[in-house]
Amino acid sequence: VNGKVFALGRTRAVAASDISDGALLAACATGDRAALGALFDRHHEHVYRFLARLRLRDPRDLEDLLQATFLEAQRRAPRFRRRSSVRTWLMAVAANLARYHIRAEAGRRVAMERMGVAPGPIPDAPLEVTERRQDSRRLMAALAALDDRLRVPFVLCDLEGVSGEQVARSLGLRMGALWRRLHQARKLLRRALEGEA
Amino acid sequence: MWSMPRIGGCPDERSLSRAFSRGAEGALARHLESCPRCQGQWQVLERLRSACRQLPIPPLSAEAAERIRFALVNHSTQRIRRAEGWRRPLLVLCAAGLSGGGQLDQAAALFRNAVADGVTEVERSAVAGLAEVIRRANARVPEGR
Repeated sequence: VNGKVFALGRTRAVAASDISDGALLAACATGDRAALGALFDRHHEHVYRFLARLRLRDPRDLEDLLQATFLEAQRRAPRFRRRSSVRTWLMAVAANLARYHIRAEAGRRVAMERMGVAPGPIPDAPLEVTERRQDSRRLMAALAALDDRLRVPFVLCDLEGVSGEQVARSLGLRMGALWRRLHQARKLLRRALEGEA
Repeated sequence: MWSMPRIGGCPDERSLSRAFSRGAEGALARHLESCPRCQGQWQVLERLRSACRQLPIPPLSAEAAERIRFALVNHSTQRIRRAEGWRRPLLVLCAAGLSGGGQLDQAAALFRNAVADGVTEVERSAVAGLAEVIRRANARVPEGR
């Protein structure tokens, strides 16, 4: 088994591409690492892009969080209830980890500042070096400044194109709360884009 | 779902924002065609979404993806990006501080070299903070103690 082909019972083997996301996740729940690899192959680009869009301060943390997301997904796999797609569920797992990461980072930063230790510079991401337009910077800053409760639904719905129903289910929100948060996020970002913030 | 227009025949901002998530269809699509004001608001939302989608994203290299995949499939629960060699210099740094700070500068330099490529900014700050705490604590200890 190299992550591409799985034994199914004793009678036949199937290609990873023939297995549904739900079946792969169920296999992950039993400790099947090849299934975890196949799940990673299928979804890591989307999960990575989602994490990057949450505007984490240090781009190098993205790789850590990507790995942590799939490890956590395997741990939580037995509790997957099929209330959303596996991809949306993975992004919700990633959002949770990112939330803890951002809070911890903010806490450490405050502690460092209290001790009078200035944080070191953040290395530029390659694209940020070439793209310095004012609008982008303003928008990135506004997105990074959004509260998690607003940013995660906004990124999932508006940027990743996940349906409101799926987002609400995966984040455990009522639809009304989701629409309110989306509206609030858009309002704040719009102000930033128009240069009011 | 967007329902009948409100006062003045136009949905309020919140209703329009809510409808935006589903896309313009039916009565709303017809209303947008005939109402420049709502059409303008709709286009602002579209511009915002488009601008956010175009924000730069640091690329994930194929090599990094492969390393992560390898770690996942091979039971490694350790964070794979970390440079392996940074923990030992950190211990040296701590030991230097606890022993009175005499070798602190050398130990700090050793640590900095070891971690040049392998730690996050937060970790670097944490270690810088630790070094500073040790330095200050040692500065308060009278000679001969």
